[in-house]
Amino acid sequence: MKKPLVKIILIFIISAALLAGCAMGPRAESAPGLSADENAVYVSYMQHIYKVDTKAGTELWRYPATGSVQVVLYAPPLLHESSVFVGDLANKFHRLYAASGSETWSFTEADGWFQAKAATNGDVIVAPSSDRNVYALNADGTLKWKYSGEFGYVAEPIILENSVIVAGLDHNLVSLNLESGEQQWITTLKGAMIAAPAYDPASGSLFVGSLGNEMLSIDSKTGKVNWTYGENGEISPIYATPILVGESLIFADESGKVFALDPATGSVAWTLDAGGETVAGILPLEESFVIALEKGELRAYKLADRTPLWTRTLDGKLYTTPVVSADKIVVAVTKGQTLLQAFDLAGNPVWSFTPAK
Amino acid sequence: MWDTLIIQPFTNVLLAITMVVKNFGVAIILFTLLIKLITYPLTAKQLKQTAAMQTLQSDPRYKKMMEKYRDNKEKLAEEQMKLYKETGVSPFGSCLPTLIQFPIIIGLYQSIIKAMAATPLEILRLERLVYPFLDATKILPIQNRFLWMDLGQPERLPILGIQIPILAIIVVATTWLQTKVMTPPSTGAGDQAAAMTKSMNLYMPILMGWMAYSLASGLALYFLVSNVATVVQYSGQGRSDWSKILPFIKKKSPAPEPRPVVVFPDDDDEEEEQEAPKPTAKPSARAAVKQQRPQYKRKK
Repeated sequence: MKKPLVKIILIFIISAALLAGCAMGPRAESAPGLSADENAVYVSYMQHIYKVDTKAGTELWRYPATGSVQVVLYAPPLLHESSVFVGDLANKFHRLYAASGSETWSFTEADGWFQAKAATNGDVIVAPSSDRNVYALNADGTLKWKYSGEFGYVAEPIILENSVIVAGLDHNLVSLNLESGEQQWITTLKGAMIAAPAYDPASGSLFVGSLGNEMLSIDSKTGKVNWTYGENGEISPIYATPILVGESLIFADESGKVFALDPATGSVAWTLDAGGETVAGILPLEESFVIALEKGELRAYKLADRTPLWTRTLDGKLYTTPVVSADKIVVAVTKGQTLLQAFDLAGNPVWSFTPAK
Repeated sequence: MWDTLIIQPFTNVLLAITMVVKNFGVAIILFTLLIKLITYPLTAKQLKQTAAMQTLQSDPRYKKMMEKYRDNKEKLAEEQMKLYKETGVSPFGSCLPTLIQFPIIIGLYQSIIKAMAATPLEILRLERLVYPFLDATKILPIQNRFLWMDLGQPERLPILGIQIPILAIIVVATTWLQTKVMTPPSTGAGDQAAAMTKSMNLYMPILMGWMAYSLASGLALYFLVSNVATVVQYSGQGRSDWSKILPFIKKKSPAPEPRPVVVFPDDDDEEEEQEAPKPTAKPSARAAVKQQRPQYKRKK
């Protein structure tokens, strides 16, 4: 072989090795994904998912044990019995033992990221992907069926008896047969849906907001729209799932306005200006609710008359809906000094968690 | 400031094109070409200045001056400046247009990344960038599908069960073509510079190929269009040397022969005074810039 050719090949190999060393992982940026059970919170952020003890705020395990720039996790983990289900931006979906964080299996047939929280009824796990597919997996991680939409999915699906409801970035809310994946109905909204609908078992209605400045009530059996709120420009884009509390459907829009609607008619019960842009969902407590403002403020209000109870300011941005675990409100912070901050129900700081390097 | 002045307008133009052509891939191509067209006067100026500098440096008398003042950097710099002034060649002439173009290129790159928002947080940021008259509701999110590609994901084309990164391969080829065609012939003025250019010519295609392989294919598409547009721009100006790629093409003839010239604003060298009137085979620096003016006046 000629000398220059050998030189070129050598340079190529060295370059490839060097570049592989600092290989680029997924370039996406997102907020932490947060879930909780009675004793622990699970947070997906950057290279790991962490299980943190709610009482002490200490790390119980992390997955994967050694981080890699190739693997990034933002999807909120799904907790079911002794398992944790979570997808990553390396196009893999994992089932982990909740006790140890060790992997049971991983599904690797997707061509896109998993950013949405999955859903399961114990037998079927439904995991939407940004590759435009909704994957239904058997309990052993094998593919049961898949459904293809027009765009990717970032919203958590919801399972109702024999169907699964999936909200898509393609503006379509679809109902699929849980056993076969066959489409049962499809309803097209004005805007893309970032978050899952809320479901009212009593009325069988779904409530979903979109980037099209609208909140809709949709019949879960037929896909028929019961009512639409926001047609006259009353609201801005909605990035989170609404909550059903008592007789009200409560949600915040991006501008920071909180609305309480009558779930049956869509008429306004009350509104509240939260005082800042809001992306995260509202956390309902027993007689109050907590709203996380993007600028880093956590505000609690009395549910009955919306009297402000307390306000706490965090260092960082809040895009993730807070959770409650062991009587503590846990907040995931984006670009803050800490990843998690816990408060008691009166708003007093209890602990903070920053992952050790 | 950067976002308001560069990223936001660029992103909105890109989204507006997408709304018109209804295809994000085509919008990236058109937007890249549009930016290339807008920055063309700067590119043209840069090319002219580079060529003028190249010609000047290949002049035997320039080389002689370099040799003569090799050990006296101060004097060399002084003489060089005199020469630049006399011949109208600016030593920074090719840098300034590049510097002006740089933020535009970075802005173009960043606006494509912003428009390919795929996570909720990225979609939120994009929604806030969209001007009200464009109606973010209808645009977002962008349909990323183009040909066989998902522009938000690295590109692979499955052929016989093998995932082949076609776009990355084409990016490597066009980057190599671009560097090969555009690299001016070595003047011999500095072996170190020539060696550096040579290694850059080798590394650039590898680097660009790796980026096209691992980043979203929307960016790889931008690299490809940008490479092709640059080659076309250079060829349009008659500055590309295709004989390096296609041996059957005749090597480009030099610029029109200048008339015998007295060039140097020389001060003291008798020898040079005698040599100066000799006709030279190579064009003077000025000739490359303004071919109708091959002569420089003797300094009085």
